[in-house]
Amino acid sequence: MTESTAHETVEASQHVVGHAFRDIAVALTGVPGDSSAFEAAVDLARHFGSRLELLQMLLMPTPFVDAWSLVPDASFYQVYDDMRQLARKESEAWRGKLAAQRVEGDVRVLEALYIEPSALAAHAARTTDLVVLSLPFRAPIDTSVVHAYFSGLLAGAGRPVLVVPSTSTATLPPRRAMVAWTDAPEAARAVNDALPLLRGCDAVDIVSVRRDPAVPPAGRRLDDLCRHLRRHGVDARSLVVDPGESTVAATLLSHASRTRAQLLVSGGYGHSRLREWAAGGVTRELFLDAPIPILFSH
Amino acid sequence: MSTTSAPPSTEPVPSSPAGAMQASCFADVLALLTMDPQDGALVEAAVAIADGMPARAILPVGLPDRVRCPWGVSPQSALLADHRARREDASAHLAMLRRTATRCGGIVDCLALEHANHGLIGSILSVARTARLLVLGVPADIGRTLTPDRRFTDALVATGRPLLVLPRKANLVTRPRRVLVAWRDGPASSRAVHEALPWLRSAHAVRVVTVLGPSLSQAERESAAGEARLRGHLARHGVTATVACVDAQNRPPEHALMDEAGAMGADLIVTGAYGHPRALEFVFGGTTINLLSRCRLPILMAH
Repeated sequence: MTESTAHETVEASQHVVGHAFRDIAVALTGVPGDSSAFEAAVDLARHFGSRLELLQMLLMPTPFVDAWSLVPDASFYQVYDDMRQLARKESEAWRGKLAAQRVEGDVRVLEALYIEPSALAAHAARTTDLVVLSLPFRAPIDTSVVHAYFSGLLAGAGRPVLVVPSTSTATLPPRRAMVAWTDAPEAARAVNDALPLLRGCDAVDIVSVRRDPAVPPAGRRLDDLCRHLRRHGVDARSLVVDPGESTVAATLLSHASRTRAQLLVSGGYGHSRLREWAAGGVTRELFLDAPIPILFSH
Repeated sequence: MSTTSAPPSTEPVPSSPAGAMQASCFADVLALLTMDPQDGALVEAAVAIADGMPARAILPVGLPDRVRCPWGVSPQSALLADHRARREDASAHLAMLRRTATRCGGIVDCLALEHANHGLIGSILSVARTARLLVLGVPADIGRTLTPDRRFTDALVATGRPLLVLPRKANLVTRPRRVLVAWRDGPASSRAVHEALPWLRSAHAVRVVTVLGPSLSQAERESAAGEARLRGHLARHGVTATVACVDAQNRPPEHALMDEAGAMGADLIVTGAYGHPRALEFVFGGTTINLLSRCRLPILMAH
């Protein structure tokens, strides 16, 4: 890096405040592991001075109407009341935690009755800057619940989604980050959405995995991207890695662990979600296997 | 992949990067040129937005892999002559645009992007994805044809970057001061508003409008739940906005939007673009295209 660009980087990083995350939504999906999303969001909120909005999802069972009655069974109202009572107790607990952490914020209970809960969450997340979601401990049923929220939020909110692992502690804001670059609109969005986080990093690697050895690497495009990031105060370097025998996701994750990256930035679901969930793919593998937080944009 | 043969450029270093950064958060603006008289306006807009930072402009030059050749001329030399003519046209056009940029006091790196005709759009998109904001003009035949120019629609939906679209007759000489945000509850609106934040922050007046169509019940729900939250969210970003719902009164929504823009004296409209890349011709009609073909204000769009 030349002297002048180094100067530019240092100067530019003083204007972090102008472009920070002001509102951060935390999607509490009701699975064990929610607290790691909360802790990650608290760390970010302290750094950026943001307000937290805890979205507590409450999936209501659809009323059962049998052939003999048009009115739902009265016992359902009892069930609803119980659920609401429980949710109220939980949201009080979350409010207590917010107060204990001395972070500005509030808890919203989103009651999903006759509506896809992730659509409700996406609606709420549109008026925030970032959504934080945590991956549960490896219980398959919980994972599928969280994945449904994840994909719904990613596609419907129009905001970046930060997925935090619950098995390891996340360092947020990160000091070293890595961007998984592909020539796709999702990746372009992810890099720009992640700017507030990348700006504070000492080192940012733009990694492009060379899937097809016949195609020459897009070095010039990576240089353009690095210059764009430098102008926004991010000190980035680009590299192209060869996956060899392993998958793209595994290559990215091994590079991340080798460089001790604390955040991965990636586009999510360039292909249709259904196809990716059925046939596997980079987004899903990263979502399930990453030991570090990942910021996804769609 | 790309057979770009653009001349190597020396990156001009801005004289006071800190000051420039503070004023403009769109530090890497890219204008997509089209060999059209409107290109001059695009370069001027790029200079206005970049606000002292260097901007980029690319002129795609599609090179055919075969041309019609008269009797007695070898196909090879006819092809070479055709390519040479295209290159010369492009470099003359670029020289003119460089003069325009110098005249309005900006640094614009004007380059030709040469590529074989097939795959030209792909190479435009991959350059566009490395920018912060794209500036482009509305094609002349927009709204009159069922299949809009793919360069334009693909830039809109397949780059993942926000676009400043300049309709014909519109120009942008300074930073916008009065901004109308057309809000429709959806991911594209949310993206557009967040991408526009640097401008909203420095604007004197910001008005967020949801146009209510026939599906009133859903709109009512949106307005009840979303208005206060949106206002609060913008306020935390330092933007004081008025948020309102407007009844389209059985007119197309773009009419209501343009009336609103006229009433507040807006100099920019911010809106999400709705449409699907693979079914563009069918879905991409409607409000977005009509707004582009009728409006005389610059529009900031995100998909």
